[in-house]
Amino acid sequence: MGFSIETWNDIAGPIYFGANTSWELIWTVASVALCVIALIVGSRHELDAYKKADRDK
Amino acid sequence: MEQDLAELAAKVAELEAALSATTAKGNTTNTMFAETYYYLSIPLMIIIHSGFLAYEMGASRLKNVLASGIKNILAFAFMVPTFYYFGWWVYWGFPTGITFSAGPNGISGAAYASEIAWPWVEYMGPNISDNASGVFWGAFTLFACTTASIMSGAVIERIQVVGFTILAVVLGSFAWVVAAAWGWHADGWLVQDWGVHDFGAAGLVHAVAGFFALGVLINLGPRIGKFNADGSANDINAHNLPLTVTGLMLIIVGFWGFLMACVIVPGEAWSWYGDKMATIYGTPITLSALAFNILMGIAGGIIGAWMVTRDPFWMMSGALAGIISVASGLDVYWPAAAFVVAFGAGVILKPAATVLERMGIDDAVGAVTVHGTIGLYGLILFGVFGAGMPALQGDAGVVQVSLVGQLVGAVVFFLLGFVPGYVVSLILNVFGLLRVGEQAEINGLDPTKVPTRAYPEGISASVHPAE
Repeated sequence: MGFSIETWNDIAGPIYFGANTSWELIWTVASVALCVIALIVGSRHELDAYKKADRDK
Repeated sequence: MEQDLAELAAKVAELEAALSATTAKGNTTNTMFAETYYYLSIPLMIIIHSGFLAYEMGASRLKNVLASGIKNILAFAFMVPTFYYFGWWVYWGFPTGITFSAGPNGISGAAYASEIAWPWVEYMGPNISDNASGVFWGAFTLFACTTASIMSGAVIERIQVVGFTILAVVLGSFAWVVAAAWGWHADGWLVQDWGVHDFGAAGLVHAVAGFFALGVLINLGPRIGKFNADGSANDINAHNLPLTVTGLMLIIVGFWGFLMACVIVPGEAWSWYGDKMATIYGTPITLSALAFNILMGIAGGIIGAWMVTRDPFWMMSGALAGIISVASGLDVYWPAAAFVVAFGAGVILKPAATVLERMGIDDAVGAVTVHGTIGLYGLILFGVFGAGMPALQGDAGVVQVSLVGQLVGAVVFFLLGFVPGYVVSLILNVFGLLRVGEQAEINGLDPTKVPTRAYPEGISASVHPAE
């Protein structure tokens, strides 16, 4: 992460941190993993709510 | 031979004239583009204010709906003239600190500010030689209105309207402007000496406004019925949550105007370049960078908040927190990293608000957390991700972004918000200008002082057991 440039003069192409390193893939995988985790946790909460509604009827 | 030379010279002169005309046309096009660009950012930012208006009125109980609206509308109205009278001067006069001397770029200090920003100079009115001042001032005025609106939501249902207006002016036309002069202006000492990078104003707008609100809330106290005798808190429900959630979405829409106005485009008096966009620090940026990272920030914040709360209020607050959490580095975040950072903001949002509530602070809409806490979270995190980045346009050796620099910025922005918020509200309280009367609060502010009704045909009121 971070930058290893001294000046922005004459910089062309990508300007994000970690450009052209393995960090692009690492961050992408991490963000996908968070989406999946959120869906799993959300699904568990939703199914629990339906079961509770059935129990309480 | 001489005739050939004369013909050649004539042709060169002709070509030079054509080139000059083309360049002039290009410059005119650039100027018109820049003026239009900032002009259009202004109504987009007014959408932020529309959103805050809906958000606050929805979050109020039935008895306080219009009083909350009046307060918010007045914040906007007073911000415009006061930013014209002195706020714009503060931005240009303060960058080098209390010395008011000129900075290295020669566009700051008391002398420069007095030349361009007092309300009685020629640049502060219609001027055919100046296409920049009006639209730039307008954009900054709307930044100021945003800070006032941030504070406005936190204090609903028990603050006096004049006391609130005074606080809004102190925040919007002075406190955050000093933060912007120090941490945004290219001559600002936080930028020049510490390499502070806060492109989208996570610290200098959001954190300053959030912690200003905290200072006010300490002196203002909680709404009647918010806390029980044992210190436990009651939920005071919004009378119209759909209106509040829609208001939050409008704020998100307006944010595109806010963030586009943070970009310096070619063609205006303070442009860094004639052929490309830059941040306010002169470092490179594209609107594509904003599109990638704003959208990923919104999504990350919503999903993170949904996973923890399942509550649409906190999910849309998560959207706002998501943008704020990556605002400092919207120019250079990798979009997937922006998503992860924003997701974290969404996750910590509600727990952070709960901590504040347990401390006895009644922040009616979570403004301290969304703007203050998350603003500093984003500002400091960028010190990790952006470390080593040249903080300004310039040759090798220019100051770089660092974690220490971002931490210094965080402390300064916290103090610039909290201290004036606390001190001015304390003074207002001493003079009886802060809190509404107890009976008026119980009866409701609308029936007490508003000459019309929000719902004359009536809807069911949300009555709390503690009332």
